[in-house]
Amino acid sequence: MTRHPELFAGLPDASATALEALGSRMTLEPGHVLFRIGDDASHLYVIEHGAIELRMPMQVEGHDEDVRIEECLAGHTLGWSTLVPPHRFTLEASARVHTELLAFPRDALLAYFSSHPDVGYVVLRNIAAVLGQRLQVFQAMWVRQMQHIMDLTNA
Amino acid sequence: MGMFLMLLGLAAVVTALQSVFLSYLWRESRTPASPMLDAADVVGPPQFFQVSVGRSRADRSAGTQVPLLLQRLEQHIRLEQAAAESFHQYPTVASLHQHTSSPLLH
Repeated sequence: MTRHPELFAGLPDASATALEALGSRMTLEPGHVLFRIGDDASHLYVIEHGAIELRMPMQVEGHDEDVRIEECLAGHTLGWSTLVPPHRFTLEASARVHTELLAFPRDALLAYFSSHPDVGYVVLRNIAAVLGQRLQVFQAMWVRQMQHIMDLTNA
Repeated sequence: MGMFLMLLGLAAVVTALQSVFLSYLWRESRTPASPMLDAADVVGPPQFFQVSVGRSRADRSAGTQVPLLLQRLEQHIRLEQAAAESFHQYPTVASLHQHTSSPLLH
């Protein structure tokens, strides 16, 4: 299965197909919101086509603005909060263009992993790899921003 | 006697002038060289037309700058994320603090 390399890498085709059958296809038009901050995170999403923008709120010149912090494209997985307590989304996701996704319910995924632990191991290992990469990137970003603050303070 | 009275009067006038001059100098010495401006004196009370309009000219110009600031902010985020991903691939102290062309930093 090469359509969802981020989530299904290392899985036999039969297992990937079985997992894909757990998901339901959904379509978003440009501007449509997939989830908002604080929403209950019940589904894990894989983008099949299109682009999803991730936004977080910031105060800009006294205005509340949702700032785009990342864009996810075809093949990307989003909605990690579905698998991480307290299962609440921590940002807003909306479609930039016409977008098609696969939505996996958490309960169905976990039940499948319980009955097929070998598949669950591979998928959760893939998820851990992506989460670890993102954590390290955001750690570096955080240190860089702190350095910028120090430079501006001492300027 | 007349001459004595004239000199006495002249001395009184000179003494009076000296006292006036000295009191002037004393007041000057107590006045600060550069008076401090209080912010309340500069700003003053709000004007009637500002209240009726609602937003000042400064606020309106700030409002028009928000899209530009958002654009710069998002460009900054993209550049910083790219720099952080580069560090993730090749982690060194130099790559961690590599400068970008972010418009927010220049």
